[in-house]
Amino acid sequence: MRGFPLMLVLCATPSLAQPPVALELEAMRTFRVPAGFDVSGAILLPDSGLVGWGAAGIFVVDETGAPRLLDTELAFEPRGLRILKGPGPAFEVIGVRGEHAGVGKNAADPDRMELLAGFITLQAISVPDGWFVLVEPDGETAPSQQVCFFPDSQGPREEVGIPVVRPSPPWEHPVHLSPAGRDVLATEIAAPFRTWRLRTLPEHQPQEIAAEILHRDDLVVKEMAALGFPTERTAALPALRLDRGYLLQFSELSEDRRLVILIDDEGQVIRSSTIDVALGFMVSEPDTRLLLALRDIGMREFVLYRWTWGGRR
Amino acid sequence: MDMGRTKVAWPSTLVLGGSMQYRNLTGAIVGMIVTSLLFAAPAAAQCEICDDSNVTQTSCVPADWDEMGNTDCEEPEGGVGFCPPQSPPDCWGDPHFATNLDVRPDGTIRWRDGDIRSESMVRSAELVWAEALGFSAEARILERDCKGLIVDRVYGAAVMRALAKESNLLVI
Repeated sequence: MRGFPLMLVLCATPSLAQPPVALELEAMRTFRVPAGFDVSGAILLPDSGLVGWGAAGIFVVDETGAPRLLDTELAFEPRGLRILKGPGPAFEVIGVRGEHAGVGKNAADPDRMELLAGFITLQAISVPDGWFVLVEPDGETAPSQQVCFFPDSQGPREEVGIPVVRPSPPWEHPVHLSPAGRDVLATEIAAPFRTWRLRTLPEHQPQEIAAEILHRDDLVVKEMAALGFPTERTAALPALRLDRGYLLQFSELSEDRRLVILIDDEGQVIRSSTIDVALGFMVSEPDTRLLLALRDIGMREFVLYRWTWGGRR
Repeated sequence: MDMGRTKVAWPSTLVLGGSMQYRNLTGAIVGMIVTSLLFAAPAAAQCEICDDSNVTQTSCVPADWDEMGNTDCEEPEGGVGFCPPQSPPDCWGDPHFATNLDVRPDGTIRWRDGDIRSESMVRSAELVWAEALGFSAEARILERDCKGLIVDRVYGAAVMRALAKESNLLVI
């Protein structure tokens, strides 16, 4: 009889050892994008509403689902936004106007300070202790983007140095940034579509940013070849952090076809699948398993999904 | 599918000519009918905009298109208000092509200078055009041969909406 429990364990082990392989997304809510608004970024609010922004301004969608424009006459074009603690919607925005980038409580009245003279601010991602900012040297034709970090703890931003990825950034193409807890992900837009996790190294002075690649260099290209995705007509969308592993997503620019690759924390492919809808995932909340997507179905709308892991190998 | 046959004309001069050939009313009416039958199904109408006799009205590109495909063309009934843009087929092989585009968060594209165009919007517009002209959503628009776009499939907004709304569950 002593062998009986062991036998049960052995029988149960194969199914327990096989991890779930599909992400099942249940649509919880949809939010209409304001007419004529070209969304460039969004973050989720704690009540499952959202704040979206683009060149035309900033809008809030609360629990009623109705979009409400906040700033339509912007002095700066928002490139990143974070929610400030306090009553009512309050935001800190990093925005740009021409060669200047500024940070302020709202985009209409930023402090108008130059974060980085000589650089164009492309994107800003808020993390718990600061901002990661993607910049490009002004006037350079070849893509040579840098990621900088601006800690909240430091004093006046004018005095902040330029902590960047050191040694030089590993990417060959422009990248998207996306949040991943205290870190950010940087995804190459074009082949070979590599993704790195960037984190600050506060113990180094001057401060440095370390880049750790998430997967093999050729992983995405091989998956694309297997599924008939032409790499030259495909662009990566931002990688997103899940509660286990990462979601990599790609758009075939001449079609409404999307490729989604799920990888685990070791960089191994969990699953690759295609979607025949003009859709991209913008924000993930691993703690609550919420995933915000933007889709174009003749009109643009956000879809808030809740994910569960399902399916077995 | 010959989209050029959608433009039907009834030239008044032909009616007048028909009435002159017949002395009685019946003959005139018969003549008008015969004449109209002969001319009511016109050959593919020449493009009046780009003045190219080799293309039809519905496949030519308005002459006022600028390099980015902007135009003041009329909005089709229930339509989206723009003409299909010129396709950049020669650009796809350019390694810098994708980097010179802004890719929206939904994966559609726009030109970095602000001209908002995407392949999916092209298909939406094509569908509206096709439906406005009496063709079904499954219509295959085979070619636009005057600076135009070759589209072998039409995925319209309605089709995509149906796909997306069909189920609340998306498995990836």
